Amino acid sequence: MTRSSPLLTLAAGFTIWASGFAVIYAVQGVGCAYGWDLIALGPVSLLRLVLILLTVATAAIIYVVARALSGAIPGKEREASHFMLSVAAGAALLAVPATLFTFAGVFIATACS
Amino acid sequence: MSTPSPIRLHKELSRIWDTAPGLGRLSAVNHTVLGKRFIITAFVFFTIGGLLAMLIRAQLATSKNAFVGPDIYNQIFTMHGTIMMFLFAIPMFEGFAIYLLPKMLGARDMAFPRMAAYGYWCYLFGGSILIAALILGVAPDGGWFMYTPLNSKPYSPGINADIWLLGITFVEISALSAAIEIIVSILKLRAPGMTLNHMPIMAWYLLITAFMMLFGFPPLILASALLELERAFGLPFFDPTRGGDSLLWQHLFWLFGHPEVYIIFLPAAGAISMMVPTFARHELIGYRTVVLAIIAVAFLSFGLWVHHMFTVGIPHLALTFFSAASGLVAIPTAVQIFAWIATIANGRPKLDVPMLYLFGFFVIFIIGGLTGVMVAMVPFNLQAHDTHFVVAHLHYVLVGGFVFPMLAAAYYWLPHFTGKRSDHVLSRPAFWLIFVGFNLTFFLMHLTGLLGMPRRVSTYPLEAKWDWLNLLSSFGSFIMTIGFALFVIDVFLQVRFGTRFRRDPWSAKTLEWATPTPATSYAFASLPEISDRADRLEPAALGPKLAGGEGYLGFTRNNWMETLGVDMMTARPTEVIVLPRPTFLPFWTGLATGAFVLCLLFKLYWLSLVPFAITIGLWFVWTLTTGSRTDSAPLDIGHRQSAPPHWQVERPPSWWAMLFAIGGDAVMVTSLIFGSLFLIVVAPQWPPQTYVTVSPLLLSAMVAGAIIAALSGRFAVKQLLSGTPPLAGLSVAGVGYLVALTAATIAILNMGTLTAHAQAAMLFALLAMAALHAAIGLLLIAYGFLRHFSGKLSALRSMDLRIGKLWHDASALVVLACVVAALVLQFDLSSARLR
Repeated sequence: MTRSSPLLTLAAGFTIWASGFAVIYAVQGVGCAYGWDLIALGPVSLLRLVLILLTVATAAIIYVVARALSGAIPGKEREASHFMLSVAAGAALLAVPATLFTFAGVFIATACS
Repeated sequence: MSTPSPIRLHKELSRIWDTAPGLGRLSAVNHTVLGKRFIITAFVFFTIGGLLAMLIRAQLATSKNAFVGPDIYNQIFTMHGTIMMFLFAIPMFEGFAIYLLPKMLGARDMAFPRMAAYGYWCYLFGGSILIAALILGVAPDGGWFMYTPLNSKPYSPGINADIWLLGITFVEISALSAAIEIIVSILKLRAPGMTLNHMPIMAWYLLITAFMMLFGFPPLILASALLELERAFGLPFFDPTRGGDSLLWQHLFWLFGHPEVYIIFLPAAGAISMMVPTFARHELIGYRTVVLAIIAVAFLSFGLWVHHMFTVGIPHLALTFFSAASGLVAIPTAVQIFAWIATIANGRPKLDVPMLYLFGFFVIFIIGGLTGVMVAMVPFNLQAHDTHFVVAHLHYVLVGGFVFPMLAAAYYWLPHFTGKRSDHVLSRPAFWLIFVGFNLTFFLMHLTGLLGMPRRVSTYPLEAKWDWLNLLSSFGSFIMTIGFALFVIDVFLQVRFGTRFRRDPWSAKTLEWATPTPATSYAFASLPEISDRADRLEPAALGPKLAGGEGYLGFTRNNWMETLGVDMMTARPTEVIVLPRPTFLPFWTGLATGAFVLCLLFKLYWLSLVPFAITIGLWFVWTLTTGSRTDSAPLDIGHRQSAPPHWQVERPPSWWAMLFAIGGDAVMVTSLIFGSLFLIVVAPQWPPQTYVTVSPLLLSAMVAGAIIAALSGRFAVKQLLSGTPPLAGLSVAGVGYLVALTAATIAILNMGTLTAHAQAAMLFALLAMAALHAAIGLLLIAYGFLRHFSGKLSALRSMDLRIGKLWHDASALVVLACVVAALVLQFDLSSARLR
């Protein structure tokens, strides 16, 4: 780890969650404003499809980052790095279900009302 | 260097570190002095806020009450909320942090003592403006969250709302400077060997809280500036009849406002995490899990601001995001509570007074948390919104989550402040009166709320049948007040007549108890080396060794106020940080800033340029005493080790401070761009009848100027590092900024009317934001020249230019982002909207 990276790794998983949140909320607003919910793509609307893809992509990216962080955890002899990376990996792993739970509504809720 | 005798060392350090008496107190920059000042001032504001609460309860005690009229009542409840949130809770935690952090981390002071002093004066002057307005009967009266359009000019024509917007923004300066100082102090000013995983858990809480402040407060500062521009000059950012949107205010406010709840709770939770292990006589269970939980709470708290806006008509799908996040945040919060319970269960708990108050915290906060999950659910929220149920919930969370832990903390750390122990005669009855009074007051509000009693009404009809519940609530509030009065008397008695003790009266295991008590101005005569978790120490044994000079820096040199800086990750000593001596400059700068705010308040815009210029000038004067005109060999730090002074290292505290300040600034700029896009996509009355546009040539000149400044700033650093005077790089950078600033000014002057539609107003705001960054860059260039001509730059002493480089790079990105957003604003993207 470089000198400034410990803090960045700690925040990695939930930063992606927050970024995904901002993008998904923004796309939902833009999609409703421009009527993407009225464009049918098979059983779902364009807006719902985009939001589902964004949700899955966010969760997938966080999962990849969590795996990478888990793989980078050094042995316990490097106590400080071990601690920081294990917390970072744990936070990222938690951010995966947090993402799926937060955005579960994209599968069912009325998109624009 | 040789270590003098303990007595001599104490005398030398006291001579260097102590604050002068009399008027010299105004020059205090010491963390112990400033921490106490913050705490005492916050408690005074708490008392004022509490008295206002008494007036509220007197008014609501019976139906059709004519105790105060609606106009006065509006001021009272607005000021009660404002004082408690902005003038009590945040500054109280800042005070605890400033007082305790260096002592917990094994440093002699915070990283930027003068900033802490300046922050204090901003807080005091800003708060005093609000209290003066209250006394004069012109206090803010539109609710502590200042919703528009109620607080826009047509509906609040007086000065009341301006006082809130300017006064609170003034106080926010204090909070932001404290946030940066706390972050840098925790990351850089720890005892050698105290790696991040060895820190006391409270440092983790304060670190993450400070980051939340850094990212949470800028949206509020931006929103306040935009609303003040609307009120003062008619720029319609929030006016839905002219392309603005009152919901934009709510978004920006609650983007700050909900994290604020956790900003208040987390430091208190940090204090709980220090007290519980002491009284359980067992170290905190799940240290790593608790750190993880704090991180999760911090992030999740930024994803649930819309749960304050469930009833405004946002689509159901969006509501599910915020409802889910609101429920989710209860999990990491509960993890912390389970960690405390597990610690108590695994230890040998003793029920001393602080634990009694923590018992109150557990009961009240958990009830508040459970009702929080209730109001997080949209269907229930729709029913309970704007009723007294919400008043009950927020008081259970904030009083349970902050006031009770702070009362416990006061009893826990008061011996540290005073060197005396309490006999606890009054502390127990005080607790029971507060606890019973609080529950009587606020539990019943759940019921009045469920019976339909709305918030913020000054009276209610007899037919509503809310009388007896309200009367009992008011009765309870007076019981609670008697409890607080007993607490004050008890503290006074302890300060005046308490029993003296030697060291560490609670048998705690953390470093702050290794200092002398009451604490000396320099905290530690020598700095410890920490090789294990810093909550497993023996302060009673360690303290005398440190007082005897056996640690690092156990001597004085050049009359310098020295502490150690460490590597963020390894905690190896990297630099000797030479702190500034006591000075009146923060006081005068705070006064000048206050004069600037008052000029804005009374619409004396041209006159405001005078205190503004004085403030900037004083900032430059601050720098005259820092740095060195000669390169220095590494300095002895004791234990046969040496380290360079901080101005000769690559990343000193001020470098990190600039980096984090840029982080907060990025949030501010992003919020503004979000506001622009929000209006395009959501606001009514779009598209405007005519689009205000800016010449692409001028926009290009702004970007080109900022990029040239950034590249030249980098070149200046290279020149300096290669031994060449950096004059060419600085000069070209200055020209670049002048080009950008001139182009932005011409563009703004040629925009025509800014009041017809929010499109023009937002365009102005974006250009002004870019211009502001160029102007600050220009000041940093001027600072570079000043440092060069005063002989304080060399290849080894390049810190000042490298700090400037950070800003120049960020500034170029900000100007580019603002210009892109300005271009987007000029395209007709809203005609295709279906909704």
